[in-house]
Amino acid sequence: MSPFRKKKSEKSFPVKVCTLDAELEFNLQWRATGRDLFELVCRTIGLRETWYFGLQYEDSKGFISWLKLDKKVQDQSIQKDPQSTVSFMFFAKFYPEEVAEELVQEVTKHYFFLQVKQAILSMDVYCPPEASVLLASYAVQAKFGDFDLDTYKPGMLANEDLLPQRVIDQYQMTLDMWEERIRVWYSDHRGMSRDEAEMEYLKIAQDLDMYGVNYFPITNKKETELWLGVTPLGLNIYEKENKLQPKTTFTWAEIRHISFDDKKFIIKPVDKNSPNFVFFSQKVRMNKLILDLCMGNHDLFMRRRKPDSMEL
Amino acid sequence: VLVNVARSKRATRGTYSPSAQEFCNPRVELDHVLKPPPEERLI
Repeated sequence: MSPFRKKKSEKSFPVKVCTLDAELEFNLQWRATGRDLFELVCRTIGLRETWYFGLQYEDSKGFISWLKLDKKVQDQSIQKDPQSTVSFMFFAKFYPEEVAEELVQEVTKHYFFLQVKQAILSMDVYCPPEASVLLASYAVQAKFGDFDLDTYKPGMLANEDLLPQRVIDQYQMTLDMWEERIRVWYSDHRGMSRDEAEMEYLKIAQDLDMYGVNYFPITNKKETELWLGVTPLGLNIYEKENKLQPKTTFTWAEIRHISFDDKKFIIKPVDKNSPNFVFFSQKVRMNKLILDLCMGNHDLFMRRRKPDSMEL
Repeated sequence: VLVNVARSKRATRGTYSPSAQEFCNPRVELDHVLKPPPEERLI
């Protein structure tokens, strides 16, 4: 091997990976694949239920992408500036069908809890007021442990981000009044560990209509604007104003083919009497992402129903 | 030029067949039917 080639193969580049509660820094070999980096992250945080997660980044064209595991990191149009550190976000890409049955490791539950809580507080996932207060009380239990009358002072929760802004805006209530409501529930959770409180949170959150749905803006043949939702169970079509109840649902078993050609996407049902559903997306890139999420969700769907295939 | 055209065509197309996947990989294999539900499959 020539000295030049040897030098090149030993070259490395800095990478930053942010999880929802930590920042990790690595030096990656120039030839490292997505899987090399992903496994490094999972090992570092002690996560073995890896199949739900992925590394997200903004590519050189500003599109949010998931890092492909089989390709070299350097070949995936990561940012062009060679001086700066490449950053990735560690996120759940797929959701379990039933958290209490599927999630085993405490660390897995914790990352789902953090991600779902963020989605609810940022109002990406709609949560009604009553459920928001109950969820907040579990989040407080997870963070502070048991309620203690001696150390608790009203206002202690004032700096915490606990409720979606929409809920606060909906009622004529002061922050103290909200805190009192949350405190009443909080004092009820005495004896619950962080892990248990986070699981209670997830068990309530997973019943919210928008939980675990990846929404994409699409238009149908009549140029009506709609949403496509990719879920663990199949594909949903929503009207523009209603992201809660799908107007059409295709379970995986009902779909013969899904395919796209440029911006046109076709869902072909197994039932030959039902018409194909044709829609258009804004970008080819979006169609690739939709297909990728379909394949990943369907793969997990099948693995759940095939015993002994999801061992740690 | 021809090679380029072929490549770009592939890059803008994709297809997946969920029902065929399930047909090819039957979910329940016979020797698993008699087993109890895999409650501890993850441990």
